[in-house]
Amino acid sequence: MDALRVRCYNVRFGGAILISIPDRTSAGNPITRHILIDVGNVLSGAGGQDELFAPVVQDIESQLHGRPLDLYVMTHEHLDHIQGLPYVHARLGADLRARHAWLTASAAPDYYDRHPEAQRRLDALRQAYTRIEGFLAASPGLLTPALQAVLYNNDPRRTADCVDFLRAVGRQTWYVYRGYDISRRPGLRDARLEIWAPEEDVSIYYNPVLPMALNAPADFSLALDTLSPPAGVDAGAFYNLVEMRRRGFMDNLLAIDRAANNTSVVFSLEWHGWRLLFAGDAETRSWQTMSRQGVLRPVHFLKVSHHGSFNGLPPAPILDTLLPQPAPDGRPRYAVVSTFPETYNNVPAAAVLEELASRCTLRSTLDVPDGAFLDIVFPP
Amino acid sequence: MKVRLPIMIQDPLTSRYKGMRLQESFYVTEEPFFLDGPVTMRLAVVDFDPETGARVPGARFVPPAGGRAVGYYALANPYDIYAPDFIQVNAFSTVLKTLYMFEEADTLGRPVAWAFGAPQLLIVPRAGEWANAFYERDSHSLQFFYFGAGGQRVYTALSRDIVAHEAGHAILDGIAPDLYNACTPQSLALHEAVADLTALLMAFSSHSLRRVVLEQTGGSIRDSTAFSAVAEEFGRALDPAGRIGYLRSLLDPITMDQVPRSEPHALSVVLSAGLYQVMVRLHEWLKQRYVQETGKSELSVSGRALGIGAKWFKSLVFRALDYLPPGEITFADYGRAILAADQALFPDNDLLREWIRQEFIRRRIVSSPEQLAVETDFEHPALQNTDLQALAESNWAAYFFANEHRDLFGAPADVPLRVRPRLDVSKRYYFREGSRVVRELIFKVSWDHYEPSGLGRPFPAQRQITMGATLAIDWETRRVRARLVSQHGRQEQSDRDALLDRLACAGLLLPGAYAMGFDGKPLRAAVRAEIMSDELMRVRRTANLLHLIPEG
Repeated sequence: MDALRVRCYNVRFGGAILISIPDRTSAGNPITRHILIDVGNVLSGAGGQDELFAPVVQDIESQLHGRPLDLYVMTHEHLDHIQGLPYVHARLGADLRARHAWLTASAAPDYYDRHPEAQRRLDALRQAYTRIEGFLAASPGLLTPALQAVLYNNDPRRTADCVDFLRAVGRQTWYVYRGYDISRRPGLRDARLEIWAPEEDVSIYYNPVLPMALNAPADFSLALDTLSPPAGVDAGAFYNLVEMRRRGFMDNLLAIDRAANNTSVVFSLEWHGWRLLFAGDAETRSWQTMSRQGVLRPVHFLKVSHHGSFNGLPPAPILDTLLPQPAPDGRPRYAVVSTFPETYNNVPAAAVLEELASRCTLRSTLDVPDGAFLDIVFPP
Repeated sequence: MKVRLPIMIQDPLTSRYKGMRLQESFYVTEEPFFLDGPVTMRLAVVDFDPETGARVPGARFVPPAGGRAVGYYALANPYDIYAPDFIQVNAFSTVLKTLYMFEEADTLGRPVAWAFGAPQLLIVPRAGEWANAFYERDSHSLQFFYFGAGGQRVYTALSRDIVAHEAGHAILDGIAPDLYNACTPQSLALHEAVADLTALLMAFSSHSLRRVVLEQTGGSIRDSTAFSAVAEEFGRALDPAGRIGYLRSLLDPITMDQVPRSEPHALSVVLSAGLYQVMVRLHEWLKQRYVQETGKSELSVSGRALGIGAKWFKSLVFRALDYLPPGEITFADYGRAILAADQALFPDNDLLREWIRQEFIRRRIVSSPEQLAVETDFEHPALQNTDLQALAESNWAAYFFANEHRDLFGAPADVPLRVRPRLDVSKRYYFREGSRVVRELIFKVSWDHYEPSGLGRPFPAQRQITMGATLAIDWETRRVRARLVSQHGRQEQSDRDALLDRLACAGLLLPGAYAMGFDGKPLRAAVRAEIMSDELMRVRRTANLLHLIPEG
């Protein structure tokens, strides 16, 4: 194999990417190194069909020829990126192993002991999650498929089980962040990996939660005895107030989702003059931090963040750095989005896809059948 | 009906360490009715149990009866300030007193309408646990939270500063509703500065507080934090080491070149602290005058000087709000409006106007007095034979007049105009021979202005902002008492670019549908870029930045 190949699988609303890199052994013999990034999809709705993982994992195994992966990367702790490998292990007995595994820094078992501020903020987000989960369980009329998807995707208990499994995928497991020493992990010779995000201290991504008065039932008619307006107060204004006071849960659910997305491992791979960027589900805040830290460079390949959401798109000045127009070296440039419609809120965003398509060749996993893949090849 | 209401003099902590009593009484006669809650025509306290979410019965109103001429709210224990019924009544009293402070003939001389177009502002005195309080137009409400600090629960609804500050936001939103959606950082900063000045003037309005503070400071407000420290208990609770001890200080000497031009909170201090210095000078000047007039000591005249000075100061900073042109506002616009208000108040005494000019220059808000020039007290032929009553009452007549006389409003020739509801105000002015009420017609016209959005795709390339003009017309003489027209240049446009870029990069400014939740309704804490066409956007709900959007 002479060319570097990025293989993106259609797992519907999720992600699974296999990078195959021509490299050399210590003796100088040619060898193809394989990096697998995430395997997962959402747990509910049409965007989350678990049976798609079988052909995906079979194809990955066929590429490995019995060898382990050289590197497995768990970008962040969201089920749509991590539940695939535990699933195929439990259901199909598939046992993908890796020489090295990178897990995002905050997945380290002792991470929150070392970062008490992150722990404090995470606790607040988790408490909010529990309250929202309970509220929606008691308010089935509010639970739209998109809301269900984001709720499941951020379920801390199921996530913890999957992360436990993934900690053991690599012979050696590293909890990585920008600045972490990865020079010999996994030890590629002709390719160079560089971690752009997240920060070691991810507390900056854990925003404070908004207040949300969720102790009133969603159906006001169920609680007229305790939730009727005082005499002299307009009923419409009163119920609007009650509704507004609990609406913070929508903002909070998105904040919880965003917090995990922003802990995504974002890394670049440089090989024979090509620079490829795998962005996980990094959202605006993470892009902004990368920009401030001065790590951003023009790239030839962009794994589109967060399934083509608006918040996953780097803000315009950052996009101008990543995908300047015209291309500085005249080489072709690609972006790939792994997505599925009507799963999350306004994802993929048409405006995001249009913007990316105006700058480079945009491919989508929707272009290939379920469980199949699309390849993008970079010649030496 | 006369009703007696209790009101906190300051917050509990600050009152205690100043050795003051906690509450004083406030008598009301203007309201057409009082109900349990308290609930009145324009304010309604809605209290919820923080644990269950159930609505808590409001404090019970006891109307005048028998030989008792004064109504009151029956509190289980009037001295237990932490009891729900006291918190309910105190929040109500403080908001009502703040509202009166704006509306009386010494200030706006008119009733204030809420920006949300409904009669009642809802007050939630125990909104939940959070170190915050906010005004939210969409829920027609002020919401006051509580939080634990050092084993004690701090109720923001018990802080006179905080309640007055938030009420100030709600009232200003009614006076200048465009500021809620403004994208000029100084417009948002003005909201914050006016809210802080409202808290300051509410503090000045307490005779008890004035007396105690002046006794403790030897009759000066120059160096004391007693009035200049906004929300002391709140600040101390958040910073137990006591280094800060308040949320904001009006003694801050900060100037425009020392703060980021896109940061509304920091910018607001430049304005509010600058105006506080004017108040300090006014107090000192009045003291000297009264000492000369009476031969008494500075300390003994300091209370009178503060009472009179605060009234003068209040007239200027609040009356100026009615003179603001609609749309985006700069501090210089506000400065011009204050000067116009003072010109109307004291046409022959330029002293305060000179101090204001000096302070605006010292703070680097403007670089020369000419930038604060404002047109006042002039005749215009268009007004001589115009039926002012028709202008006030008929939108058609007002539009026809504005369109016919664009030059009078400084409106561009080629843009559609919008006339705003005209204000018929009756303000009291003081002359040597006594006071007199002057009736003014305040006539505002706005128009859209287009400029590059400064944001890359997928935001549209252009943004729409609002500009405008205000005419204050003397109903009797038909002279123009003040004309103020939006004056925005490259610097203001660049400031807007910086603010919106910062919001977009932080993921807080979201276009169209992306500012909606999973149910298609607006997110509570987002700033929305409304997409008007592929090429044009306008920004909405930027005021959320001031209190509602959590800082990361």
